[in-house]
Amino acid sequence: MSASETLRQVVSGTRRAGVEDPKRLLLLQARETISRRVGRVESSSGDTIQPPTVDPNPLEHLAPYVQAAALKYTSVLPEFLHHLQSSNGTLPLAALPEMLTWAVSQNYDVRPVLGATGTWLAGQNSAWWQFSPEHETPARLIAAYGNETPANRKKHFRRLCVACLDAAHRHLAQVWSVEPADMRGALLQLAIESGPPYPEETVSLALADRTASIRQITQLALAQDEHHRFAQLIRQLAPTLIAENGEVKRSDPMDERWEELAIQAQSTGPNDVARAVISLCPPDLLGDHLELLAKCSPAIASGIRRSASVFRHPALLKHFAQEALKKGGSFMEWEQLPVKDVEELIRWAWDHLPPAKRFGPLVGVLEGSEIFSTEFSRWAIVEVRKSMGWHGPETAFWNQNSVALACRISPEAIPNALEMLNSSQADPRHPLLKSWFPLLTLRHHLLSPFVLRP
Amino acid sequence: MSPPAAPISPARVKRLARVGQGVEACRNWLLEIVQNGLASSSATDRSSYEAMAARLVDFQAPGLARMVRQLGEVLDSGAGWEARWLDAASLLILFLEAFDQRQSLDEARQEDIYRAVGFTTKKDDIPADSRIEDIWHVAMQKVFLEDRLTVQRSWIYGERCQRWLMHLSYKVAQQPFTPDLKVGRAIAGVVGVYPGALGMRGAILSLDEAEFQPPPSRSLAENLGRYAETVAKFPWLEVAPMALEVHGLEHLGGSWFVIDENGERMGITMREHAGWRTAALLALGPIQIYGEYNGDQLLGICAGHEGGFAIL
Repeated sequence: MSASETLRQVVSGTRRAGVEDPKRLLLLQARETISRRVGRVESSSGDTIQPPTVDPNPLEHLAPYVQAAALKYTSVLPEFLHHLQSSNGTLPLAALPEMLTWAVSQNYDVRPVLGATGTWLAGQNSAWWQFSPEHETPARLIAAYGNETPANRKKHFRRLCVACLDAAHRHLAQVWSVEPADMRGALLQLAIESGPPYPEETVSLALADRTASIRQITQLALAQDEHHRFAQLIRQLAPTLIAENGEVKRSDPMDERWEELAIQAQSTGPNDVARAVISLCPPDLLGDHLELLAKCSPAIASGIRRSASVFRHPALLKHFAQEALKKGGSFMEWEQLPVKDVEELIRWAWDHLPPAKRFGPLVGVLEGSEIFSTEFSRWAIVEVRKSMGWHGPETAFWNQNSVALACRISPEAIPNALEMLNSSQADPRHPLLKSWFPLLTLRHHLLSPFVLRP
Repeated sequence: MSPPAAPISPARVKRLARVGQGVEACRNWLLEIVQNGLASSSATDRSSYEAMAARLVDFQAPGLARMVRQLGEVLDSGAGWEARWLDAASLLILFLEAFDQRQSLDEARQEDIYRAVGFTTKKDDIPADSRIEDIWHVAMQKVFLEDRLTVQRSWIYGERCQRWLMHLSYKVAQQPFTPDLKVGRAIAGVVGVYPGALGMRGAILSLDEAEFQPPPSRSLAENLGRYAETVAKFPWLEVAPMALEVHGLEHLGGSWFVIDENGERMGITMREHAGWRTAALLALGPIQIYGEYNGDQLLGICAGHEGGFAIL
C-alpha cells in the first residue's frame, strides 16, 4: 500500500475504510517512516550561491561581540565602526547579517567597512540592497518607486537619497504634483535630512507649498547662505512679536519669501513662531531679545526652550542647562550640547552644588550617546569613587547609571573602570551590575584591536 | 534464543506492571483515533492528548507521556500536519509493541526502552567500563523548555574516542545550569555513558578547561550512514548530531539547502540571518556545519571555518 493511500485511510478513519487491523497498518507505516528518514538526500540543482573568495579577516574573532552589539548594545556601534573605518578594517564575516540589518534600520552607511563579501551579501537580499552598488542604482530605485505602497515609497526615496542626492531632488520635483500633502512633507523631510546642497527647484517647491513646515523652510533657506537676510528679518519681526504678544503680522518691508514665512508662522501658533525666531536669528541677537520675549509671551519663551533642543542651538542650550543647574531643576537635553560644554557644566555643578545634589547633573548626562573625553572620564570615576567611598553596587548611582557610564566613558578610561569595579569586590552576577559588565566588556573587546592595550 | 534476563528488583517489577497498564491504555486510545479518522474531534482535540499524557504519568511512564504530548503538538505544526502525525503515531505504536516484546531484545536495547519510558539511571551508577576520559569539544547546544524546566542539550565530541555524546542539563527559573557548558569550549575530563545499545547520552563526571577544536566533518552520505546505524539501534531517536563538510548553499523559495563535496544536498533549517551568515562564511572556502537531524529536517546550529567557529 502506498504512503498516500495509508494517509488517506487514517484521515478518513480505518473503520470507514474497512481496514481490519489498524495496528498492522501503523506498523507498516513505521517501517516507511524510518526508511524515509535515512534517505533525505537529493542532487544539487546547480543553482549554488557563490560568494567571492576572500582571505580570513583578522578581526573575525570579534564576530560574537559585533553581533551582540548589533542586537542589544547598539550604543557602542558608532564608536566601533569609526575605529574600524579609520584602520581600514572590515566587519567580521559572521556578523555581516546583523550589521546590515542594523545599518538599514538606522540608515547608517556601513559601505566603507563591508569589504568584498559584505558588499556581495548586500546584493543577495533585497532588504540590504541600499548597500549594494549593483542593485541600488538610482534608475532601479526610481523605476521601483511608482509600484510601491506609500510606506515603501518613503523607503525607496530614502535609499535614493543615499544612492544619489541629485537624482533624489530631481525625482522629488517630478512626483511633487502627484503625491498627497503628507507624502510631499515626508519626502521633503527626507531630502532635507540628507543634507545640502538643496537645489533651487526644491526650495521653490517647498516655499510655494503650504504643507511644508516652517522648520523645513528655514532649514532649506538657511542652507542657501542667506543667514544675514534672516537676521534682518528677525530685527523686523521681533518688535512685532513683542507688540502683538506672539501674533505675527505682516511687517513691511518683506519680500515674498518672508511674507510666506510669517503667514505660516501665524497659522501654526506660538511654538512655530518660537522655532522661527531661533532658526532665523543669529545667536548674538537672540541673546538680547530672549528675556524680553519671555516677558512678552510665556508661550513663546517655552517654545524657545523646546525649540532650542530641536535646532541644537548650543549657546541657548548651555544657557538653559546652567539655569537648570542653579535652580536644582532637571535638564533633559544634555546630548544636544557639545561634549566639552557638558563636561564644563558638570564640573561646575560638582564644585558648586551641595553634595546631596551634585549627583543629579552627572546622572542626567549619562543618558546620552557621546563619549566623554579621557580626562573627564577619569575625573568622573575618581570623584565618584572618592565622594561615595564606594560601598559596592548598592548605591543609587550604580543602580541607575552604571550602564550609561559604561557607554560614555572614554575607551582609555575603561581599564580604570574595570579596576574600580574589581577592587570593590562587587559580584558581577549582582542584578545591578549584570548590564554593566556585558556592556563594558563588549566595548573592551570591540575597541581592543584599535585603541586599548591588552 | 532470548538473552538471559538480568535480575530486577521487586520495585521495578511493580512499576513495570503499572507501565504495562499505561501502554495498553495508550494503545487503545491511539487505535481509537486511527479507527475514527483524523477528521474526528478526538483526533484534533489537544485536551485529549493532555489527558492521555496525564494518565501515563499516573502509570509511572513520564517518557511515554512526553511522546503523546509531542504527538499532540504535531496538530499545530502547520500545513501537512496529517502526514507528520501519521509518522509520529506509527513510531509510537512501534514503541508500544517494543515495550510489550522487550523480553525478546538484548539487555542493552531493553535499557534504551526503559529509559525512553521514563526509568532513570543515577550518574553514580554508570559502570566503570562506561566511563571515558577524553577531551570533549562542545560543538552544539540547544536550550528549550520542557514542562516547567529549561533544558540545555549539548553535543560533545570526544577527541580520542571520536564519539558524539549528548549531555542534558536542567534548571528551574533563573538558576544556572550545572555544569553550564559553552559552545566553542572544550573540557578535559571523564564522561560516563548511560547504559544501552544507543550509547548516546553522557554525564560529565569531572571536567577541566581544554582547548577547543571543531570536530571533524563528513559528507552527507557518511552522516546519513551513521544516522541509519543509530536508528537501527533505537528507531525512536529524536535527534542525532551531524557534522557536515559544506561546499555550497542553495536558496530556493525561501528554503536553504547545504551542498556537500559530492554535489548532494539536504534541506537545512536555520535561525534568521544564519543562512546569510553561512553564505558569507563560504567566502573563506568549504565550512563545517554542525546541527541536529530529527529525521525530517537538519537544524543548523554552528559553523566551523578558517579562522574560527560561529554560532548560527
